[in-house]
This record gives sequence, C-alpha cells and structure tokens, in this order.
Amino acid sequence: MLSDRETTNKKEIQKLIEELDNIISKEENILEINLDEKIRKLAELLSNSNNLEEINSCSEIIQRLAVIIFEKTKALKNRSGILYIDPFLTKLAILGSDVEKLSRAFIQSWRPVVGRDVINPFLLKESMTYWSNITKYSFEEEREERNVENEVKINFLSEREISEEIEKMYEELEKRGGKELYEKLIESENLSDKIFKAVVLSFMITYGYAGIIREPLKGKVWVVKKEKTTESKNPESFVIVVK
Amino acid sequence: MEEESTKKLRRAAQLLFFKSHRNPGIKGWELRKALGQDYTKVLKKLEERISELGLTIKIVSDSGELKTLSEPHEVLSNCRFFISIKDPLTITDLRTSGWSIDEIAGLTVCIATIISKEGKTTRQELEQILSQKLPKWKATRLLSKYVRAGYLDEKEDYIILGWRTKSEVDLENIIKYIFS
Repeated sequence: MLSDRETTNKKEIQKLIEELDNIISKEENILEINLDEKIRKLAELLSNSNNLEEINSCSEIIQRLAVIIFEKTKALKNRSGILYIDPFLTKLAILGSDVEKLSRAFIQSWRPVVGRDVINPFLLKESMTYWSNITKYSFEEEREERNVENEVKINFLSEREISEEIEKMYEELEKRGGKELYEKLIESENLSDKIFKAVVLSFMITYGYAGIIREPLKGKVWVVKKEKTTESKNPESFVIVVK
Repeated sequence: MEEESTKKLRRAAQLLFFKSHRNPGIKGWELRKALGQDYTKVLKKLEERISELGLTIKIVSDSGELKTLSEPHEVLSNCRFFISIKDPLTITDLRTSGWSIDEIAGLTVCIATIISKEGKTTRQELEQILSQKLPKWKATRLLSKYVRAGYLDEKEDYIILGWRTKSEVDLENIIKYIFS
C-alpha cells in the first residue's frame, strides 16, 4: 500500500518524465528551453524519494535531461556553423559584449579610407561650369544709404548736433595745421567719445571737408583739411579700426 | 620614359588620395582615362610605394566585393579604387579617428545585426537593440550619423549596410571578433 507522499511523488516523477519526452520528441526550439527549472524539480523529487523504484524513476529523468543537453549542444554547434545568418546568436553575442569588446571587434576589422578634401582641378572645373550656368540673382535688395538723415532717423544723432560737431572737428584740424594723424584726431579719454569722434570724422570726410592720406608701409593714416567746397572726384571707402 | 612613369605615379596618387567626388575614391574607367591603358601597372607601382607607409589600394565593386589589380578591365571599370589603412588599428587610434568608443560599439552592433538579418533590418529594431545600452535619443541620433557617414544606408523601410562599411570593414572578421 502506497502512502500519500509516495503517490504524489510518483505522479510528479511521471509528469516530469512525460514533459521531457515531449521536449525530446518535438526537437524544435531546443535552445530556448530552460532546463534549470526541471533540474531543480528533479532535486526536489529525489530528496523526497525513499524507495528504490522512485530513485530508479529519477535516474530516467536524469537520462532524459542528458539527452536534451546533448541535443542542445548539437544545435548550438550547428548554429555556430552558420553564424552569418543567425540573428539569435548574434543578439546573444551583442548583449553579452561590453562596449570595449564591440569597439575592439570593429577596430580590428576596420581599414578606413585615406583621403583628403582639397580644391583640385576637377572641383574647379565643376564649379566654373556651375558658376557660368547659374542665372543672375533676380532679387534686388533695397539698400538704405548711410547718411546723416538716416542716422538722425535712428536717433543716433540730431541734425543740429552733427553739423556742430563737424564744425568743431574742422576747426580742430585747422588748429593742428590742417594735417593730423587719424588716431590723434579722434583721441579721447573713453571709447564711446572716441567712436563718436570717428563717426563725426567719417561724415566730415564724406562731405569733402577733409581727405585721407595713407602710408601703408608706416601703418599711418593722416587726415588733411580741405576747402569746404571741395568735392571728392574719386570717392572710395575703407575701414579704419578704432582701438 | 622614366620621367613619364614618375609623372603617372604622381597623378595616380593625386587621383586616389584627393577626394574629387562626394565619396572618396575613383572609378576604374576614370583611372584608365587619366593614366592610360596600363593604369593597373601604374597602380601596382604605387601600391609598392605606399605599402611601406602602411597603406594599400583597395578596389571594391558596386556590390561591395573586394577585387584585385589582376582582374580584367571589364571587371575593374566600374569598381571604386581608393587608398586605405593596411594594418588593423588599435583602440588608442580611436582618438584620432573622430569617433568615440560608444559610437564605434553602436556601429558594430548595427553591422552585426544587419548581417544576421540577411542584409537588412528596420530602423526600429536597430534603435531597440542600441537602446538596451544607450539612451533612446542617443540611439536615434547615432543611427542618423551612421547613415550620414555612409556606414549604413536607408532604403525605403529598411536599413542596409552602406558603401563605406562594405569598403572599409572586414565583415567576416567583425563577426569572428564579436563571437570570440
């Protein structure tokens, strides 16, 4: 007569044997089968088995587990032979690799192209063709002339102020003998005054009250006084940096 | 005669080193036009010279197959010729490559995944795999960067390997190293 414990144990052993038989006979997705749970169950059943018959049945479970492990090994080897097309193993390998291993794999397989970006005859030829084929830019930008009226408009100066300042600077230039270095003429204690003087001087030159003489070799720019009626015959503009 | 040969050698180096199109390298037919019918001989001489500097001439067909200078012109005509590094780089070389270690690792993941999916996969799948180790926004940004750089290519709904991966990366090796 079997006890309740023995009956339950026997049933569970039988159930596990059937599950394992089922796995062996199906032969599909064998790599995805988790055997840990089954091995834990076997350990539990084995510890509850007291008679020879139960222990014998447990050995049948061990035999089936061995078969499944063998099949798993075979499947793994088979998949390893076709690594190129096996997303499962690739995913596993990727997930199991750290950043450095992945980078090393790339670096070891990478032979970067060596090249330089330069302007060369080909590019020049291409760009010339492009340039000669493009049509004229049709949008004509309306340019606002920079003059006293506009400066007044933007509240930089009042008309009266600018006329007075031009007069003052003209007199100053006259006092200095009608010729002075640009930087000395606009010299001031603070930068805003200096810039203000530079602006006034630029209008003075624009009106033809003064002219500019450049000495590029010495890096000097002279301002020379002109008669107020004088008009510039060859108007030109250039940039002077105010430091 | 020798002067002519040196001239051709210089011209060949210019054509191969200097990028004249959007992509580096030059087609076989262009080389033939510039260097003459014996362009493969000129390139062999150039190969000898640059080999001492750790460089090599690489020839890649449109489908990404590597070719050699001994192939007939009919085969080489449409192949792309360029100069590449001959020997493997080291992790320390990464500093000068313009790519960070994260970016290189991410690219490796993408390449391996695409290979395993028989050459194409979806952007979502790559984003998902990259997101396992990187923030989502970074995964998205990296994918776009790989496409821009030519390492990956986006065709309709799929992402495939770009011309640069086919030209610069030894695909067998990369898989071997990942699984080692």
